[in-house]
Amino acid sequence: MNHISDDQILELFASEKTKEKAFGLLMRKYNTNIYQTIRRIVYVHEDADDITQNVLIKLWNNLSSFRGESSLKTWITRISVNESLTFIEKKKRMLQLDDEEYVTRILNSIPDAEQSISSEQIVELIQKGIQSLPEKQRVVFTLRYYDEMPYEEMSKVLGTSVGALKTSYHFAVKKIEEFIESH
Amino acid sequence: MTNNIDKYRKQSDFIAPEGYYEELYEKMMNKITKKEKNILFTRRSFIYSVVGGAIAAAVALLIVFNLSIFTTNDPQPQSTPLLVAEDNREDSEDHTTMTTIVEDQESTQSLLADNRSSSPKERNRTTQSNSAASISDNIETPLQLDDASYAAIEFYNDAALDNLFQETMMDLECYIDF
Repeated sequence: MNHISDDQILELFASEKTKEKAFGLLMRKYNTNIYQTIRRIVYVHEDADDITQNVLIKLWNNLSSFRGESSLKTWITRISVNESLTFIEKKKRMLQLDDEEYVTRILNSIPDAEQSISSEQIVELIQKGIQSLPEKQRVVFTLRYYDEMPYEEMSKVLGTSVGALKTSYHFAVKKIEEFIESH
Repeated sequence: MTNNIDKYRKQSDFIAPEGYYEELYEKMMNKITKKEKNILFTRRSFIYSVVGGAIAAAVALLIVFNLSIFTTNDPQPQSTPLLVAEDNREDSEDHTTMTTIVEDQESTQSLLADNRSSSPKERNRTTQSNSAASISDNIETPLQLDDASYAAIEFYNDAALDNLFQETMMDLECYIDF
């Protein structure tokens, strides 16, 4: 399904008759990206599922206003990241938790929440280490580490300078290393 | 250690539960289809309500204005009696109408008297020639009727003062035609 270009999807989406079909194609192409981007940030599958659906609804409502200033993938990633960060902020406010308490809560949920992941301890420690990072640093780390996103593209997604992103990623890696060593 | 992290790049990534993407696809397609239907339904119901409201308002206005016309107009008679069709009376009050009816009755009586004095043969000829003539014409040129017509006219003359005068005279016209 990935052989369909973004331009073709957008063209189909522009017509009322083929709008739904275009959106179906878009979902087939980007569902995995959207879900994984979100899941790496919020960790819990149920939360990731809710946010993914919100993102898809936003795409449905706003895709016609996409101006093509960046690639469609970058635009979708930006929406996914923003939705995830907004979700975390809301959740922290709702549960009345500060950053540290929230991270502790997530780390405690890891063994139970993740069932399909490898049982190797190192993998679990990496995931825990990622969740222990501050949100924005987590976003930078996951986009670079898993998606291997170039800093220039990441800069478009997050609206941060390339230098700041490189520094952020460097600190994130260091923190995770320290986390693994300490466990 | 960074190398160790890199080694687990793929392994440590998150995997969605089995069948999740298919389920998500179905769920989202249903959602957007319902959403579109709702939008269409809302648009249609809005249009219908606006159009319906406009029609209802128009009907209500028509009713109100018609009623006000009926209640404020002079009681002008809708049609003058057939026998006075030639009269150009402008005054249409009830007493005038009654006077007209009485006068008409008198003129009809005189017509009957004239007809009785003429012979039956003449009367028949005259009846045949006048059978297609209108009532207004009959007033200007005296009617020549047969005996049956006489009887009918007399009968109807008795009812001439009645409020149904117009209707009975129309019936008479039909009778004459036959």
